[in-house]
Amino acid sequence: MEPDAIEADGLQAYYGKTHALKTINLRIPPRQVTAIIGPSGCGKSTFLRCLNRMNDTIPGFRVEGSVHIGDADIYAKGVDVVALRRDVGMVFQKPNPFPKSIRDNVLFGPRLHRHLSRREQDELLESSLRRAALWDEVKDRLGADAFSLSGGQQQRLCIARALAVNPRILLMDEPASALDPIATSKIEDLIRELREQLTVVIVTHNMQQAARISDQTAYFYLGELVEFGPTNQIFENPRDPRTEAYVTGRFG
Amino acid sequence: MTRQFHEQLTTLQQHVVQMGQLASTNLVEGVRSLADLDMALADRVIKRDGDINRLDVEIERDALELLARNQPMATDLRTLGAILKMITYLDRIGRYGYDIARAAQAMKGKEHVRKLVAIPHMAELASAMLNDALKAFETRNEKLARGVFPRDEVVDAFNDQVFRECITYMIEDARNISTCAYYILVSRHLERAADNAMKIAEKTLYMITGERRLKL
Repeated sequence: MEPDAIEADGLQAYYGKTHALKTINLRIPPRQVTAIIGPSGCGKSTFLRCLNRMNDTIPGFRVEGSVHIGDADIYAKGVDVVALRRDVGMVFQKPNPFPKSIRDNVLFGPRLHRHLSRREQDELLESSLRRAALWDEVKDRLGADAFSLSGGQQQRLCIARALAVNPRILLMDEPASALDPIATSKIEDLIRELREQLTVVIVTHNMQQAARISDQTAYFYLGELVEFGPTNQIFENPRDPRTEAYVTGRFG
Repeated sequence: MTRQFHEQLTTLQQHVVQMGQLASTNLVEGVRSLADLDMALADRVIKRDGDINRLDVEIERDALELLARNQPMATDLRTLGAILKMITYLDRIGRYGYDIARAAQAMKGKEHVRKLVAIPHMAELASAMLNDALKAFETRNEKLARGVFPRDEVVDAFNDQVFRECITYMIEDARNISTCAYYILVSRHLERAADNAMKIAEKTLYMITGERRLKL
């Protein structure tokens, strides 16, 4: 069996005095889609952002416990955070392309990390856009401004940009919540395809979306991990009454 | 939105219970119409089958609408899944009552070979199983649902007994054959009705616990 892709042990997170994550023990399996659900303020985005140290720059933020990705403790001293984020990519709620061409958006990351010949660049551009299911729609206008794309296309461009540096893990924070149903369904199809290549962890407010696309689901509430298990179990027959209350809407 | 959904789901559950009560009545009265050769009662049973059928269609329509509009999860999902199967079982039980009432009509002007004992008793057993399964469904009572399962075998045993008895009467006197053929059919309908009552208890158990009971 493959080792867990991500392993959080006794993870605590604080924003100043606010205890945002309380002793999270979670093992995320590789090459699967893991969804994180829970009401606003439950700590799900904080947890996601802990997985590539996106919270580091927030004043007053600190963590205890550990997060291992592969064999490495990502909070150990001397960890190269840039290298970590190459390995653990991220896609946000609102598409955030750079004010550059489609081509330059995709190649931005790879160019930072190493020198690429023109041919290598072309190949990487095409393969990344294909993996993000965007190639056919943009192949004739790779030099066009990224902002000329629709919202759904911009989001897939951001996914292509994240994939271009070949991460092992892709974190997605509500990647479809700003998109219409058709763009959402394209992103969801894409996530299902990506799981064959990499580990996806997605935070979503949309329970039906979590049910559609994920293999595992984690339910967070008030900074605690309440329940983690196969998605079909979480939505058909959850073990914890708090999960039951949340997924049936009998909440609060 | 969610509150409205849960109210609608509760109403739907009440309709299932109503449908179940009609099906149970049809079974018992179908057999009574046969035992007493009461043609007026047989007519009422046959008419009631149409009501049961209508409820089947309406509940299915409402359940699908609730699924489509709310995409329910967990216990709500299991409840709707259970309901969609239960109404088919209830419709069949109601139909067995109808079939038995038709047998009573077919026997109009004839006499019973002997006073019916086992068949009315089977109807009581099957309808008691159904009533308990419905009560368990209505009150989410796991123990009551589980209590239904072993009783199916008793009805099966009566069915075998009726069959053997009828063979004896038919051997004794060939004029008994057509009446006894009805008894065998009716007994088989009651055995099937008990089976369906057990399936309703199984779906109720699934709704309450998520447990799927497999046939051994």
